[in-house]
Amino acid sequence: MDTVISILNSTLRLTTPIAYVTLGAVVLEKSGLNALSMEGVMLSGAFGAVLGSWATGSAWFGVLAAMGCAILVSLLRSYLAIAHQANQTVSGVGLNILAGGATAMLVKVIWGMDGRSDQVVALGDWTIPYVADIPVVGKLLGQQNPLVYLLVPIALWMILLLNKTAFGLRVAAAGEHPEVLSSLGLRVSRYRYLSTILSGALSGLGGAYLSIGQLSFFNQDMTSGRGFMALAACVFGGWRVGGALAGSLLFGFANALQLRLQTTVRYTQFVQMIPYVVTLVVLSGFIKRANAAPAAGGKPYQEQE
Amino acid sequence: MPETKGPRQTEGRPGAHEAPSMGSQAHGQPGSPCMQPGAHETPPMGGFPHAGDLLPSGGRPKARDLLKARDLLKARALLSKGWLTTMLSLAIALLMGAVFILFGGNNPIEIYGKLFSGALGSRTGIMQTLLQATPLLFCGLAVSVSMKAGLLNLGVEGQLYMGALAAALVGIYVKGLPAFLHIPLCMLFAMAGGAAWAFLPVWLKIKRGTHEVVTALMMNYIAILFVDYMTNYPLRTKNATVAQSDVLQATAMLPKLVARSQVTPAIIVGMVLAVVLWFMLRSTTLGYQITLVGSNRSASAATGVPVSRIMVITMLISGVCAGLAGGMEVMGTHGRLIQGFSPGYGFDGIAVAVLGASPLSVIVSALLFGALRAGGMALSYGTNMSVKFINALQGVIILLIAAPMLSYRILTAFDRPLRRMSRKNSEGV
Repeated sequence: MDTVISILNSTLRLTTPIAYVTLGAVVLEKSGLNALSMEGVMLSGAFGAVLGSWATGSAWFGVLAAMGCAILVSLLRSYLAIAHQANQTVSGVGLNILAGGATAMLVKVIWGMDGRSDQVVALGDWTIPYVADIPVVGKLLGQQNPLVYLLVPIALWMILLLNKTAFGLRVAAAGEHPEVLSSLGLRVSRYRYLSTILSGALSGLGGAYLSIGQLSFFNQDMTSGRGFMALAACVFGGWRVGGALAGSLLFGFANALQLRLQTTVRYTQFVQMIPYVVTLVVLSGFIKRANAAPAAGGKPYQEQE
Repeated sequence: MPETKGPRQTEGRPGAHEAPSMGSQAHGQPGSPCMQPGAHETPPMGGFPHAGDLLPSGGRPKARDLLKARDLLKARALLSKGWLTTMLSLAIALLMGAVFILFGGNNPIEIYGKLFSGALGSRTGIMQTLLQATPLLFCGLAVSVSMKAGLLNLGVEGQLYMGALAAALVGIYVKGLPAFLHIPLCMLFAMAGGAAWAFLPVWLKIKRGTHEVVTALMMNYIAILFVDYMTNYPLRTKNATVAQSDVLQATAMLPKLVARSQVTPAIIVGMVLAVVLWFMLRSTTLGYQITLVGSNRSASAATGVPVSRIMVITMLISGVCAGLAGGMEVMGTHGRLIQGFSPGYGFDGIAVAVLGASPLSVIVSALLFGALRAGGMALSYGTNMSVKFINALQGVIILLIAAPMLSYRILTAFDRPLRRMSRKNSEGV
């Protein structure tokens, strides 16, 4: 029983960062920009969180800084893709490389160490008064990082935003039929930029959870493929919020299982492969079914005048 | 409100009615989801606005305007050559790098000087440059070839490791062969290892429509972990503090090209490979089909090109290059398989390939990035910069070249004031 609880517990903890970035990926992809840059955006978020927390001494300022950093970085790529018709795949990959190099370099400049920052103030866990006393549920939900709890309202808000509001429908239109949006007199680029900002903020939260939620320092390339897993989760969920969250839960579970098995298995390398193999299987198994991909995704759009 | 669009509207719109020879129409949109061969070889989307646009509408053009228009035309003709955009991107990247350096509290001139002298200022530096350029050349070719067919092979890092593993296995366990057989055998296995690892991403893309970038990246992690396992357990040499294999048989080791250095003939093999690939892409049916698939997949399918087969073949060629990169490292530089021996050569290969559009120019850009990497290593001493600076620089270069319109607009930033001036002139008449 304890094993099960601890696996579930770490599933919850490991799902959270991927889930935030998955939400970001869904918004971005829905608006017609591809989400190959999530890895770099998430990494900048993780870095911004540590930087903010280190500079101000407050972890919550760190979270704000993470969102700010991630928004700036993702705007850079969207600007190139929207205003300059940059190839989205190449610019996404370029952004990931830039983020990896720049963060590692800044770590050396700021903290004088190769690849790892100083310890900073981390986000403390929240304890929910009565829930914590319930036997099994209490162990799972009674005491967690605030960002774990925040995920629930944010996810619900995202579902409403994308499905029930004019904004959400316009974002979807920007990704499916940008001409339609244009013909209504709305600017496609505006909705793509807004989605970029929203997606950057969400990925920033995911990155912040990684660096000052789970740990209290920044490590170079600490996202280790989670940004791509988020993209895979988005595909898994057929570009819908609920499905995508289920996908990130799957990756969270794969990660938890991997961590758990590492302590018991001799050849840990094979265990460490689990999340990546799951990504491969998920992508190759589900993509045909999910022809829900935004029709104009990845294509530049020339604003009609 | 569609009418409220600002000054951008006045800019030269994609000149569909003019300058068809600029070729951008034929090549589709620079930002289309599938990469096209050498996106930056062709002028940015929409061709260049005709110089006539700049002249005042109505009224006789003044001699002064004509002169300016001619200068502009000249500048554009220059820019339409791919290398100028490339050079411009490089220059902008170095400038942005200087800002990075300033931000870190260093003097850009001093750092760039250090970078330069570290790479080319001494014999050791030059050897280090060549040593670093070797895997970059193979990886750059791998990415470059894949891009010609509109694929982006991001699995080069993993294919490099698998090639290295295959070469190491043959190099360690096959005994009694003469060197002139053993070395080619190792190379053959390195190629096969890389190609095998490149197959799944493209197969999944064809069969299931999976984006090859993501699958290839996942394959990277798996390959690196697998080599970790191999160097830690089955192949691990005795009494070593780091996870590495035994030394290869002497017959499998590449000879040294230059005495007192680690530089091997591998770099020459790489250059020959570049020439072969260049010839293949330029003058053979296969090369033609690859470029065709890269520029327009559905159109080439309609003309009877076996698109899937071409995509698989291209990816396998790409994997062969990547596998050779790893094999050459094992047979030359290290002489053994070491855990995590590649500091991301496969990813550097993207920048190398994006900067050098054709296999021949990949040689130049591999040398350039080799020099940057060698110089970057020198940065670790005495400054608070790290070799990661080079990665950041690479990222900027890739971003800039991915958006040729940006460099173009920066270069033609003086258009608008000029146009305004000429309009004023005409009003004055």
